Amino acid sequence: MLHISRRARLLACLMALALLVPVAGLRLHTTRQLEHFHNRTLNAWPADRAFLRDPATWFREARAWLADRIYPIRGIAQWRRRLLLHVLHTPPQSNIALGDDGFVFLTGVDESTRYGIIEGTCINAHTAEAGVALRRALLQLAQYSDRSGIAVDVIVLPTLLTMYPERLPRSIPQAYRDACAARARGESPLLDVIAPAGLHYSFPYRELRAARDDPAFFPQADWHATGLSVKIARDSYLRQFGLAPPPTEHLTRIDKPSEILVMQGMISLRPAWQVDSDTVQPDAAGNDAFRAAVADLAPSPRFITYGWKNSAPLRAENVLMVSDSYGQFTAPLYTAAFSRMVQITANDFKNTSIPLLVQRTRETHGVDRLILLVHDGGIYRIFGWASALQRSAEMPGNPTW
Amino acid sequence: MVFSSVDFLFLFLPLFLLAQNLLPWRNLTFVLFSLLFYFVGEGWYTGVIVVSTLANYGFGLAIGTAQETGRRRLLLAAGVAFNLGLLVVFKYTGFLAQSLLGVGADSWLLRIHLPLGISFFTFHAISYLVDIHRRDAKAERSLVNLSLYMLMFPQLIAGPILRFHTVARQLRRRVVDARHLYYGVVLFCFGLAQKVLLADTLAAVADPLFARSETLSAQTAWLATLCYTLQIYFDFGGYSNMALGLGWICGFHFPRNFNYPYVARSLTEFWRRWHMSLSRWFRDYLYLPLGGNREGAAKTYRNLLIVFLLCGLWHGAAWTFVLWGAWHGLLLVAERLGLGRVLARLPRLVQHGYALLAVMLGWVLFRSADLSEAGRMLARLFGAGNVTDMAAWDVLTGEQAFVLGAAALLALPLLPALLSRWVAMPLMAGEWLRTGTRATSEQTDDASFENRAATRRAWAQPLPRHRYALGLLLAFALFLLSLLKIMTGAYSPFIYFRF
Repeated sequence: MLHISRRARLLACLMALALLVPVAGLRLHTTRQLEHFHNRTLNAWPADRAFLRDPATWFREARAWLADRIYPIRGIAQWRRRLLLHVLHTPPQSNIALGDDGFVFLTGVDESTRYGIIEGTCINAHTAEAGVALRRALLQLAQYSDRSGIAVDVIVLPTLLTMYPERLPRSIPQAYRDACAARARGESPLLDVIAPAGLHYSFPYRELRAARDDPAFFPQADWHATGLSVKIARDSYLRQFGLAPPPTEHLTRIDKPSEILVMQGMISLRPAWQVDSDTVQPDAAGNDAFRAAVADLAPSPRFITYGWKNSAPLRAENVLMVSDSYGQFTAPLYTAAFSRMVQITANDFKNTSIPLLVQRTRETHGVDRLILLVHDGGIYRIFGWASALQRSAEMPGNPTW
Repeated sequence: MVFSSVDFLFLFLPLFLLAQNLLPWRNLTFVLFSLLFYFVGEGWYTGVIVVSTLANYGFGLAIGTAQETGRRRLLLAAGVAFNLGLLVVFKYTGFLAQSLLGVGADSWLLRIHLPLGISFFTFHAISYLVDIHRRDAKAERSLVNLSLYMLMFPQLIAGPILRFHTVARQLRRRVVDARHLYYGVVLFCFGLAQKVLLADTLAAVADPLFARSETLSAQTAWLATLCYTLQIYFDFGGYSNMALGLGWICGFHFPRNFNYPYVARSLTEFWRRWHMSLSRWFRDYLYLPLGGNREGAAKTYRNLLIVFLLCGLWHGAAWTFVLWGAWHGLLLVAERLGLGRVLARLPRLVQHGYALLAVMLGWVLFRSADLSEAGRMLARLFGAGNVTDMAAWDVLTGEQAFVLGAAALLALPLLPALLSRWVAMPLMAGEWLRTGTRATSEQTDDASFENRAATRRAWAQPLPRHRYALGLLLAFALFLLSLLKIMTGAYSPFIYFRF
């Protein structure tokens, strides 16, 4: 027999009710908010019929469902990250590294692949095999360009990891730091690749490296290259056409929040350069038409596209930029050379969808030039896209070409 | 389901508390919730523990009603054989088949599921049967009460191991007042913080380092071992404190399971401070029946070795655990043979150093996946291989460095001693005796490690209210800090979960 005093019973019940708040508050945030917070699709509630077959698994899935939605997970995560960063000088996630002098590096896509990005960027992208694969891809793209009549350019942009490897903290395993440092010393087959005739290839590593002493250049706590670094990369690309930088651009020194820390919900201002153009403007109508044309090819309805138009182009061409997320930040600057540009972040697209995507865009927008743009760790995407484009061009009776 | 998960803290626990406080038939409610707790983690394997409970209920009644000594002994042997049989089938079949018969890695024998907590509930069952046989306790006529002893969720999957005669009275009658609730809540929050803030953070250092043992330098190998040494203490100790806290909330006064083991000055003392409920179980149900230390030195050493080999095997079906048990057994024998006397003449610091080093080397065996990893790690500790690795300090984030320092400090009894001046601390000397219930033998065991004079003082003087308020504030702060990690799904392995 258990005897519970009245006071103890009251206190225990109050405590129980307080403990139920995180479950009772599940509906206080939306699926969209939670998916944005977790950066993934939420765990689904398990199927009822699976219960009898394996209750333990069913409960495990139900618990994962609950853990994704517990209230107030977003606020709590925010507080924890602040505590880690500001009090304990600890990265808010294990796939982020805090370097010297305010540098912040993204080292992995998520916490399960802590060094996945470093491995891809500093090692895998710069092997001799990657060099061979890139040469092969450029040949394939040249063939595609020849048959389709669309000019093709390949642009590879360096990342903070290879621009400032000496700033990586010593907590990053030595092998990774050595690999990134080797890239900084110019040990990369990507640097010496010569593009076949009719195709432009740009990996402006040396040009960017020469400008890296400016603390606002990349910027130093962002994943994506923006501002001055993109301008230098773009100017290097334009030189291949014999073009000078557009005279209608202005550089302004600003302080902007660290992109990587903003993803963690924290504002930490860092110096950066902002590039404004008098002639390049968003092209909402063009973007809408582009999205409508390619929506069925996208693996998710939330695929990312942008449209830009330029009132004073250096070359009167319509451009399609197929890229990883770097394209979102670089497209407006590259548009300064052309009449119009639509950009699509195609990370999750099947390689086999890319030819169709080009074909649809050509029909709706009239594509004169295709730019494939990735950061160096994403060079493998170029291989896949090039192979798919070449195969499509070789198909007999291809309606496009 | 573990105590530091969101589903336990924010769904199971509050629903249980409401049911326990608002519904009648409290033991039955407790049993049903315990079955649900087990079912959530183990599904249909809950049948194993249910069968075990029913069978032991039957064995208990049969032993309790049997008059002849021979028949009682036979029934006890059958009951113990049944329980050990279950343990062997589910826990050791694969190990035995691989070690003795050399079966391949793809054999079905290696895929037999290990039900959660089987080592714990088997020991509970054996304790129940032996206590009845020895007439230390009466056979439990209520199936609900026996089920509660076997299944009680606070101690179901990781102990502490309760000897039946020490809780038999509490199964039938127990009291919860506001002070019990206070002790329970504070202990639970302290345990939660030990598990989540300390052990889990240190696990994030130790696990990756052990995973790359071949690339560790002596410095990083020692860091890995130190982190694991503290991790396992705060992981298991924290979980035990949570179990103790839940026990207090439900009116059970479980024995303390850890008493600052790393301040021990010998392995003999270490085992009086580490997993005390397991040590007591082995003492009462194996070491003493084997003859203990009553039949001469040689048999004492034999008994110690047997106990520790089996203790190692109890922790896991692998040669690393056997070796770990043998390491402890041999050192205990060595201490009895004269090492202990030599140590006693050395400065205290050397004694502490010896005990800590012996324990840490033991943890390397315990932690390693197999003997080759253990050998590699031990070799690295002593500089073999001449490997260059990053500096130990560079391995740690700011959080991990802070937690490592805090954990090292909290492994000593300094801070609690200091805190107990201002806060009503559940684990302060003699608090067990301040509950208004008669002290059980286990509680007395606890007190034997502590200052009995302080115990009597604490018992005599009621604590001022502000000390309870400060305790609650501290517990609440620790709970909130723990929540920051729990809710965000931070890395949280649990070492003793599968034992």
